[in-house]
Amino acid sequence: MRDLVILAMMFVFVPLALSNACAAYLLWGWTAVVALNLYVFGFMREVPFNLIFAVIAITLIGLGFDRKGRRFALSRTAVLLILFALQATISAAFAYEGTVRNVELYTNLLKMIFFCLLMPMVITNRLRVHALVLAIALGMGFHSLSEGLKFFASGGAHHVQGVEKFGDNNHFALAVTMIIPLLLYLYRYSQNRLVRFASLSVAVVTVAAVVGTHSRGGFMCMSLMGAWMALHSRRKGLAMVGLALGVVLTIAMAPSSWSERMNTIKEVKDDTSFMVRVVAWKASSQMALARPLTGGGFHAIQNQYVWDMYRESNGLLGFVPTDYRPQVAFAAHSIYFEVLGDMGFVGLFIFLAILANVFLTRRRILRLCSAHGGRLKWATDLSNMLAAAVLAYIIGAAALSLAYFEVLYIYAMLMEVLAMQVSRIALSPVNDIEAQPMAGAY
Amino acid sequence: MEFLLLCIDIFAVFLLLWGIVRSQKKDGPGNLGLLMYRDDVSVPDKKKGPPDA
Repeated sequence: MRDLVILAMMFVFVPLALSNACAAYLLWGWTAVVALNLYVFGFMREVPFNLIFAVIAITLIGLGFDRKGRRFALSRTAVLLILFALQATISAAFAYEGTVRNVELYTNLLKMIFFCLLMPMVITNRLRVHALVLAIALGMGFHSLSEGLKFFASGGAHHVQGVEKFGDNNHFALAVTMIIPLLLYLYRYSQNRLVRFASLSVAVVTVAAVVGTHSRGGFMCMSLMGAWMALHSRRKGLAMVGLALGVVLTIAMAPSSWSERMNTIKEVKDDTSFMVRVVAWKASSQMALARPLTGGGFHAIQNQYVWDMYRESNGLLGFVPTDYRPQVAFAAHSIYFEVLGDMGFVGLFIFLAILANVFLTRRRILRLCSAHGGRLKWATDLSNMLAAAVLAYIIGAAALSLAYFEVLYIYAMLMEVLAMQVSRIALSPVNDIEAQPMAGAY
Repeated sequence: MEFLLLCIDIFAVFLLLWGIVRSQKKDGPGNLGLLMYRDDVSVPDKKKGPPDA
């Protein structure tokens, strides 16, 4: 039945994509995050949905069929992404032999960087920004809604394990946390009441899904992200009270197993799972010291013979004592050490530059918006929401292997696209319809 | 339940794409459904007055 529904969907979506480059691009983005293949079990399971829409979108954009499209522009974010792709190519080429996920992770990263590089050519006005935000929210929100409703329906007994695409419960918690700011943006700026209601509801259910994962890191980064959003909101007092109320309500209503798990945050030194992570960080940094320019290749540290080579080393973390050294290969468990081990110091430097650039671009947007007056508050709010999500990522993923998570790169480029649009609008006359084609249409 | 949610999600994506296709019609965008966005939602600033004033 599921396969037939998805087949029917393809009969509708493929012609729509062929008729419109932007529609094809949005479908490319949506299929990248919704992972349709995980929800069908028959003949549609092996269909490369993402690849189909990617090919259609690239062809239409390449042939110039998008009437509202723009030419490729080399922005700062684009340069950083291209450098990251080049470094990834070098690392993948010089990877340790037997690194199982090297090619898979490399091609996935390259595909996502290509998607991001095309974004300024397709997402050329506010309507399309709104559409992309909706497409990403629909893709990611589906996972959180599905798991969050199970958590509610079971009265808090359902332990959210996550979705295969993202990894374990901790990865899932962070992945869905990053969608909350966009849902709140949609709640605030959508005109359709149903969309507003749905966005707010999915945001609430997403919080429940994060609680359901029992992830300490997930809850911590969600709380910090909430605090950052409250500090940057226009009604700071109300937002802080709301946040405090939300945290108190979550703690009061969460199941006892969750509270017990959260209490272990204080016992870091005795926490084996944390100390094993430190060993993985030491091994990853030692690998980077041994191969500073290329790194070991994508997830090389999970290669048993590479792990055996480095697991007794202290790398850059010799000042942290670790008595226990696991025999079995362990994932890097930190985006920073993951990139450091995979791509060496050069890769880490570019990766950190991508993260820092998000906040620099946000600052540029805020400056332009404040100079332009109240007409661009939507852009200010969206840039704040994107920055909040990236901040959650920076904090939450410090202990997770999630460096090649698509949504991060989408947000980084969306911030750049926003800056480009704000610059165009700020530099053009107030009623210039071409600069902001859909604004004022309603 | 998961399947029902997936169907709703797919339908919402369809409405989104329909809005994008409609937005490029030569005789004007008309009602774009899910894609309709609000102009700036502003909190009146007591010192400066309404931002668009």
